[in-house]
Amino acid sequence: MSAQEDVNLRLAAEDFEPGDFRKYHKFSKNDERVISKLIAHGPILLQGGRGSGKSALMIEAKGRLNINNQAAPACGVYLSLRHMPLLRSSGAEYERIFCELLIDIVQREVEQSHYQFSADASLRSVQYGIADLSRQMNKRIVLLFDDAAHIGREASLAEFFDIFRTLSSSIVSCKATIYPGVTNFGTRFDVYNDATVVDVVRSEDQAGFGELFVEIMQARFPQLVERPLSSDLRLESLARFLGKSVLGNMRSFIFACNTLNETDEKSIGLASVGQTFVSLTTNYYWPLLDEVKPKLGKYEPMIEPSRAIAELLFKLSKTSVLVHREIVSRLLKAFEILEYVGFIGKRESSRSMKSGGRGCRYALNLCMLFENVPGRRLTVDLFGAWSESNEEPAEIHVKGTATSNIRMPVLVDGAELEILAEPIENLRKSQIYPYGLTDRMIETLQQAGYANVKQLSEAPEEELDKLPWVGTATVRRMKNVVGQAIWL
Amino acid sequence: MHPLTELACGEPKPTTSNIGEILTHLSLTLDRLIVRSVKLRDTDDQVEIALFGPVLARALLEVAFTSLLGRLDPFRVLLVREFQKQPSYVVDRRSGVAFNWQPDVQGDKVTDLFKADLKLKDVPRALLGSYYQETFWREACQSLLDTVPFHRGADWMSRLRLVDPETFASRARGESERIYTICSKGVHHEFVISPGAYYDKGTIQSLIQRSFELIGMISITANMCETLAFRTPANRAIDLYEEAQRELVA
Repeated sequence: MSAQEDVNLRLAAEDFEPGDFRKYHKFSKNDERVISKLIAHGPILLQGGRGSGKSALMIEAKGRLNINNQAAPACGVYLSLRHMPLLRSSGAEYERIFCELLIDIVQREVEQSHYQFSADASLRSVQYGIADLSRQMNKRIVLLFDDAAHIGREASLAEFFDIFRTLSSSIVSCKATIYPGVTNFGTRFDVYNDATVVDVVRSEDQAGFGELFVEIMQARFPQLVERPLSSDLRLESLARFLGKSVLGNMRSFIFACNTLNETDEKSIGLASVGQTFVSLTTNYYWPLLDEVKPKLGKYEPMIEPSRAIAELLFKLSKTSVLVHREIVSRLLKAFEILEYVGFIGKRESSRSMKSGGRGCRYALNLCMLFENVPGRRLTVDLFGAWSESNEEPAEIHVKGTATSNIRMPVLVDGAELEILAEPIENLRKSQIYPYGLTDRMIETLQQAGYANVKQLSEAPEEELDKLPWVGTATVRRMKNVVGQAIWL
Repeated sequence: MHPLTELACGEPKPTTSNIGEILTHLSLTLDRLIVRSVKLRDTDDQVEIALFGPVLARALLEVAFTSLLGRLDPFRVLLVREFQKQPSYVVDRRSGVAFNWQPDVQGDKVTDLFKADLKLKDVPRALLGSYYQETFWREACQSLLDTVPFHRGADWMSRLRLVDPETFASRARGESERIYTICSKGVHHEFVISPGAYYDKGTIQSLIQRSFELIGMISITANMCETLAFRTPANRAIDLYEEAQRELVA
């Protein structure tokens, strides 16, 4: 495998070494606005679906706030909360584990400098320790909490938001990533007053949308960029169209480019793009629902209603749809799951419907919409029509029968995440996990007694490092895959 | 006049009415503040930024919101005008009728808005308060979302589209309160240690940018409702909104 191919299989920003991160990540004007909010003072909740680029924005902000960068206005500490014990704990136990993780990461940061930091595993002590560090530096501290929310688990978030609120001060700026479905902020946290919610939305109407996707193609797919294009395509229009088709989702865009790169044609034309859409729909998008299902905990039964809604939406043959707010309200979690997996993207909270009442407007994933195009041919006319943003949306009204058969299942509290019981063979390199485990890694792990995802996720890195054929890079890869399996 | 000023203050004529005179004065002030804010935002002088950034960001909000309140509730600003014209008015004494952030913009939390024994004197008339949400902002926000075509309004509009009309005032209230509070610490020189750690360039740039966007958000929405005095027609308002972004987005 070439180095370039290896890079293109990495889907999460956390999988990149710091040196490579800058090389392969690009940011639009709108992204820069978000990064500046992450760097500036004030609490921020960064909200976006799976693969929307939240982590990349956080890592970039952290990179600009390096502890030894004298010119930086603050010192950044990035903490990924992808930590199994945290997911399974609550109350004082959650606080203790959280504090231990934070202390560990701050200490690692401080080791690179001449500053001192110490604290014990209580929130008060951590608060004082960080305040003292800020005084030594005469700088603000920016705490960037990534993956604070797990889509299948809302229960422990109240504790997280309490900690977030407590740590925020005039010298500590807290930032956290959350998913669109996070609604349980606890009783002490007022989402409108205690933080600014910033949506990570990349819509084609934003400045620099097309340019961003061209830059990403150039950085990560130089071979693709050099391939000849048919007369009806230019690189800018192709990149913009692909970006729009996947609703601006970074991870899906990388998948799309990987797939397009694999086409055999001498030159890339609309037919190749059409083939890419078919391949993505069959091999990536629909299987995604099955991949996500075991991570949903008590929301697992919502997958079938989500699938039913998706099938309904993509048969409407329009690039966006207005759904009456009563339907959205009744099936909210299903719509959130569809947003999370990138099937739909919310573009408007409220718009009047021709059929009466008001609804939410969602943009539809064009790859999946293509599945219902007669003959599955991406014609010049269709390419032109879908490239524009002014098509009237389809409507689903509450008085219609379209969604009346879709019922909300009964949800049972306390359900364990099914993904944890899955065998580690399921983490094998595949369409779902392109940077997954190799056969040799699986064999080695099984021989050492690691049978399922839970065991691998709980295994200390030092233990894995002792296994035959396993070095630091492999441990990192194993941990990244298991993290992706549980959290993404 | 700057496009953001025209959105916030309308196009008043100073000679035609008392309210026109007030809005003309406010629009001239807002224009000057915008020019100075942009200049400060783009400077590298850390001391200038820390000293004057909070003052300018807060002043932008105060002037724009006074103007919008005046267009919605002319009585409020006309009363201040008459009061200030009285011979008894002196500048070195605190005025009980002057524009005040908490009662005029934020308002107190009201739990039961339309209780049976509601009295007019108990109704707060804060610009972003609960009563204006019920009587004005919901209608204005719905009208905005229905009026602006999908491809118009640029970046600010793409974010504004995600605001639910039911929560418009609380969203705007939360954001304005956060900006105002951060700035207030600099305006009152609350820090007894160097403010450089809190008011770094990035923070001030972000505060000024957020102030511009917030003023744009509230002003374009207000212009979509016929209740507003000196209302800018929808098409013109959308043009101004886009023009403001071209000029102000760094």
